[in-house]
Amino acid sequence: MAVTTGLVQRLTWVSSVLCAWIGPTLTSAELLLIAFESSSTDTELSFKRNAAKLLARAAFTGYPATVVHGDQSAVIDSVSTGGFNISPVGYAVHDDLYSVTGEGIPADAKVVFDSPTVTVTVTPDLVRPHWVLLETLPTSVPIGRNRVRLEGTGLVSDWVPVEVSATPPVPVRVLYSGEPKDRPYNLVLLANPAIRTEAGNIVPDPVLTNRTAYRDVVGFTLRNCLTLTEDLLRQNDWDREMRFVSVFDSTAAAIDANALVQEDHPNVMEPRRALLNSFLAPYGETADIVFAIHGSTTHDRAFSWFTTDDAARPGTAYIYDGIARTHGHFPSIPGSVALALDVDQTGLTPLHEFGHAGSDFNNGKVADLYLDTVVGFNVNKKARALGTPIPANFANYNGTNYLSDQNRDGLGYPATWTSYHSALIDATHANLMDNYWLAAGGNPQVCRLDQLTYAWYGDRLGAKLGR
Amino acid sequence: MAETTGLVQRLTVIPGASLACAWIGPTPTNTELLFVQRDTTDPAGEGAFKNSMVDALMTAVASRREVIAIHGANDAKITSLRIDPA
Repeated sequence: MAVTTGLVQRLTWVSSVLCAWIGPTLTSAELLLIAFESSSTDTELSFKRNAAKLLARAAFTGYPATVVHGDQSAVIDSVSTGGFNISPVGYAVHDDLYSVTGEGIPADAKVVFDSPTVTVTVTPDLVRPHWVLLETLPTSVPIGRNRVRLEGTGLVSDWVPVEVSATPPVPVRVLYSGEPKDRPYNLVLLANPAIRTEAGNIVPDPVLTNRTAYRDVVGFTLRNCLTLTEDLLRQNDWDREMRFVSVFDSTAAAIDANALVQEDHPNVMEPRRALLNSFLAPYGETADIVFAIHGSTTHDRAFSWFTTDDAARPGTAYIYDGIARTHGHFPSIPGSVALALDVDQTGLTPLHEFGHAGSDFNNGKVADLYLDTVVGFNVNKKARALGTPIPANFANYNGTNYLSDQNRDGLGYPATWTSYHSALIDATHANLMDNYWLAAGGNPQVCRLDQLTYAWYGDRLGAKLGR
Repeated sequence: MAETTGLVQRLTVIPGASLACAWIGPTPTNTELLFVQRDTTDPAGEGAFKNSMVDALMTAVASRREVIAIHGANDAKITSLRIDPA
């Protein structure tokens, strides 16, 4: 058995035989063939036709083909294409998001586009070991055939041919497709089509006319969730298993069904979570978490709703303070965040809001710690009697005892408060779910969760990723 | 039934086995190997249907578009294929 790999330099169909010249140049190519014999069955002939088509596609796209044939025979036994060590994702469109996936991508990776006229090197807006994201594909990359590769410390990837176009941007842009399995954990970022005002009117959301700012917030949100000190989502390379999708449909009408956010007095925007599943269905997406990005400048304070897990589907049991509960594997209503285009990008808003949205209405809410109220079962906050000391132990989760945070870091508990929290992972900075703007040192982006919530969330995400 | 979603990272056609193998996943090394195979007993319509799925997989390789392959829960044989809006 011999293997020949190379570009498909020429194909000729003559007298029921396809001849394929495969190699680095036409003059150095191997001549291989597929014979369409009348003695072959219809089934065999149809797959010979498929092999011929695959060779033709490889020739037209500039993809190398790998052909298996006999040691002393030019007759083709199999044809393969693809097989690069990186994977550009989706159409390459100017001024649109663009991703490239791979393995072992270094932090200093660059995306290099090469064409006969120019080489353009772009610094990604997000780098993870398995994918890079460009918030925008620069217009300096020529329209038409290019080849793209990743370069960085210890990495020079294969070149992959891509066709670059000027328009139109893609409404549904898969940024990273997630684990190849049924229903990978799916985080959808969408441009909200319409807003329900405080007065109950439906008005167009200005985000749909500001694609540049939308892409910028998408990049910020992903960096916030995947690259800061708090590694909740990227621990154990979990984000390698998650799916990330952007939906920007500039044709979506300003109707009630598409008003995915609602103004609340005086400046809050909340998701209308009951609409999310039906909105996403025509795009083929079923979300676990939705970031609804909107363009309001009057109601730009972020707000989230917890997930509602599907109690009718499987779950993973856990015990919190002796009470049996469940990490549901699937949502019936996704967790949701309303996030403004003018979000302060020095903060932690997306990751903080994910902290709420990824938790569950019925089996454990992760609540704001800067508010003293405790409603229902909160994973990360409890109440005590006024004037009594903070208990030494906060809670027992799955057999492990977690201490209370006696000091609430440098923020301190106001004397009139009855709520208290679990001890922090990093006691020198405020809790991610607290008022992180008051973080010591003035950098909110180093804040982390408390110990119990981190453990609980790790189990919850692990249960969902393993579904 | 199960669904496997991802890009077609590699596609191999083996005429002698009437077989097309598709490696589907988010990265070149994180894939599921699934296949389309014609049986000699397939009626003409069934055979053409399978060929059309192979056609779509070929297009997906080149366009870098995501596919959703439907197969048995413990079976790598693709029985249906879906391409969602982009």
